[in-house]
Amino acid sequence: MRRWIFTLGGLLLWAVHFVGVYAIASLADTVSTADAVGWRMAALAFSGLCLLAVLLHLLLAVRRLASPSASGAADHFMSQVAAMGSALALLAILWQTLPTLIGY
Amino acid sequence: MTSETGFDRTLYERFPTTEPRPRDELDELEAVWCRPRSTWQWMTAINNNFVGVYYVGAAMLFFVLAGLLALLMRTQLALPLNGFLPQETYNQMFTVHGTAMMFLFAVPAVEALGVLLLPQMLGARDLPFPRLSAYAFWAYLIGGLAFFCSLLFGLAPSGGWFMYPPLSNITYSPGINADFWLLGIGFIEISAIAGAIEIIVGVLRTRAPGMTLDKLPVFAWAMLIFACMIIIAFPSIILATTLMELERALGWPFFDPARGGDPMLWQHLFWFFGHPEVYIIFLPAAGAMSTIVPVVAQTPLVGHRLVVLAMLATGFISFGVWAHHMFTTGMPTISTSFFSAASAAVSIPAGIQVFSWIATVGSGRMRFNTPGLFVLGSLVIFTMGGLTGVMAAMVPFDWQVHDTYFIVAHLHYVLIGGMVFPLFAAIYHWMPMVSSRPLSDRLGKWAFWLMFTGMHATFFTMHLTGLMGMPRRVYTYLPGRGLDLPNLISTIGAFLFAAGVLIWVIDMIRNFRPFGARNAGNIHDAPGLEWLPNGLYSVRSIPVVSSLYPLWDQKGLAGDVEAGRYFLPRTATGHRETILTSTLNAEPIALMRLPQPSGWPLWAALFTAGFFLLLTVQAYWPSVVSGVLAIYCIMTWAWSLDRPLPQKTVDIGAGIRAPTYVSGPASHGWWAMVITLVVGGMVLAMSAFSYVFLWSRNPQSWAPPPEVASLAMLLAMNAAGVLLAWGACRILRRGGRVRAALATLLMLLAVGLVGGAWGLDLSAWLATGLDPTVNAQGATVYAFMAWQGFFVSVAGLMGLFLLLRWMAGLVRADCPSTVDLIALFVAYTAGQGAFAGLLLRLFPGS
Repeated sequence: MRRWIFTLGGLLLWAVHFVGVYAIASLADTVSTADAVGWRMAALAFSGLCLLAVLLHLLLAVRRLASPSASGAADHFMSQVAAMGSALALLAILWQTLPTLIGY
Repeated sequence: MTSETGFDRTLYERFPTTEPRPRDELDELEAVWCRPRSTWQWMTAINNNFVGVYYVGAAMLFFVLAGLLALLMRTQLALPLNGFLPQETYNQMFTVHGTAMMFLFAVPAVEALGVLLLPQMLGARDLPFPRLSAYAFWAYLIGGLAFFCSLLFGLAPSGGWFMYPPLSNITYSPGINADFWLLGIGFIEISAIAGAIEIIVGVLRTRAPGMTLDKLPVFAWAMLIFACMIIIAFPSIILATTLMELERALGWPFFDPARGGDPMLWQHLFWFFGHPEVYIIFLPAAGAMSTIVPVVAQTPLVGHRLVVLAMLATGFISFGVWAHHMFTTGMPTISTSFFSAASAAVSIPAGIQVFSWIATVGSGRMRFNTPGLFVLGSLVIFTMGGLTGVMAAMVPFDWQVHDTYFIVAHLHYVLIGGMVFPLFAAIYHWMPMVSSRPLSDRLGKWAFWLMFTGMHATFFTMHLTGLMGMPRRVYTYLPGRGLDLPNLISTIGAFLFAAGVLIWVIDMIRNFRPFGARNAGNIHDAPGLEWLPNGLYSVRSIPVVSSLYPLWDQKGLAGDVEAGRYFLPRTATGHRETILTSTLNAEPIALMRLPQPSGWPLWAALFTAGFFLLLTVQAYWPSVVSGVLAIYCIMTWAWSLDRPLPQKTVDIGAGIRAPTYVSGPASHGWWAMVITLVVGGMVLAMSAFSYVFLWSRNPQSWAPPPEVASLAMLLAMNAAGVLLAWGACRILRRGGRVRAALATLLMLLAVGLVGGAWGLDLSAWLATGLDPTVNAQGATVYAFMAWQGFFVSVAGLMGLFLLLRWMAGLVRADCPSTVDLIALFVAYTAGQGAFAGLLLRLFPGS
């Protein structure tokens, strides 16, 4: 299971991010308004955390790819998918942070 | 590469073996996997060669039937103020058309393709639960036919395929028409989930040795992701339909704003399923495309790893875009912006796949045969549908075209380009493997061009009709508004498309004629294992795979496999069997015994269908009887399982010995149970969402929960239940008759404790006087109670089953799987009860 979580780590973080920002906006809408400044800042901080986590995962995946212990085509494949998944998640999270950053 | 299981991979070097094989072993294989002889045997066949064909056939039957409805609707719309169909009939037809295409054709068709192709593609003899496949098929066929036939009696639903309340509630949809949809779809989803469990375990645990994840065929990747998505997404629609039925039948107001409910809850639940559904349909078709494109171009897929990543990413993002169907419902602007951004992001993984196919076609030598044409047609249509999808992801544009024919055009471009054309490509591509006889290339080209032309004539025009303001789901329109000509063109296009399908039907009938030569072989020079020579036992011997394209890269493979020079060249135990392998590196773990054909799955499906259908027509007692019979059939079916063989280990080829029985996480049954429990967990998660959502709509009307003291008792009883269940597993493994009795007793006590905890919780809520018909809080609380009660009942049945097995001497240390699986179920039920108790008492609190 650990191997699967590592391979899918970037995509999982992406999912955590989009579910998180939806939840924050919904909670904000219940408590005050969805676009209240404080809640937007909370969403921004959450997006920042997710970005950091994805970046970290990307670095780990790249390190594993470069490591001599990553022997065998299957290991290499999983590390590659992990790295590419993180790169994609990085882009996607940045993209989905834009509504909070530059208006909506 | 480190070993996953401790298996010594140098043993693979023993293959292909060189010594001559005994002459009678092929006869033994053929005897064990023999062809059905009587009608009853044909109906009770369970191996994928038969069930897969039945499944695809049934899905295509529903495609044709739903297509006929489309023709009738297009005939009605050919002219303004046409009187061909009455309004109510038209409403029922578009509802059944949409429902049948989505639930009875699209999902089952791709699932069927998986059941049909995966064993051969993975080098297995069959999928791990062939009886489950048979059950899923019969449940789907019976349920689907009953649902479709409701149209003939004027009992079909008429609220559209997504059945929004309040239109679908008892006030605006009286009678049982909507119930046919709600119960019918809920039932058919059970079949889809059963198929998904089969596919996940099959792909992860029955691959040919050496087929590590980097060598897993793209189609198998797609089916794995598809099945996982079903497990995550479909519980949402099961919950939604159950809640709606509870509202209609018992007056529990989940969606009634006058009593604290909210129709938006339905939209969230429906689209949390409904949008992933589109990708659930698309991914296997994309997997088929990624398998067929390299064959028609005769070159490896460009960017194979990126394509796998893109499919994984599509699977994830598909759960983040559901609210883009709800842009016009008044959600906060920032929320719609998040969903809009997510929807636009879908184009990245979809684009990766499209560019990979184009690059593969560009880098190879394209063959313009029928599968090749359907592949190219799909590329064109799907790209156009994708572009209009990006347009619709933009909120202001969506506001303009929402519920117009523009959306009808968009969704048909996506679904026909993303699923129908790839499915036809797949049928033309794999038919020589399935029936040993190819379809006619000449007729196929006619079919393609008629379908391609008809599709564009019908749906391209609809973009314009939509932009001109024609709303969807209207049975007629006024003349002189510029809508006459485009509608006429759409109708002509629909008939052209139907002519193409008709040619395909004729070709299929021709193909399955019971006479003439049948020795097509690998006519496409395709590289996958499914093109190895095979019989009803799948491959003659299970090869060691060392390439993503084994038939291109492993020279002489077909001959060696056919000569029995790899794993399992015979039946090692005299039963149907395949090799159980590890999830990542496909290292052999054990010999998996596969079941023989049986009538029980068919009877179980029949009575399960009877339960739901009789419930729909409000014949409650016959429905209960049918339900009891279904349980009896399932128990009898399960009775024959978990029987160890006399041989503890057997030679699975080249002197390599493997155990014939494994339990715990190494066994396939354990995986199936865990996946089933994930389904339960998803229903629970969506129920929790519903509870919090309804509270957020109307927090002031929420009554205080029961006192917290009962919570402590509830948690303690559930925890004790888990401990006893765990203890039962441990004690059984220590062996002996007394310990077997003690293990059974502990498990029964565990079931009793978990059931008692539920009873305690229920009585505490009853004591508060909360009424499920008065407000949404009462409705959701008692929905939780009902869900937990269902699990407790199933745990009770499992306890009874275990007691009977103990009495028959079948609870033993050498076959602990039954006890393990019941323990898993009981532990989950306890956890679910504890979670519900905590949520309902502590949120929002008193």
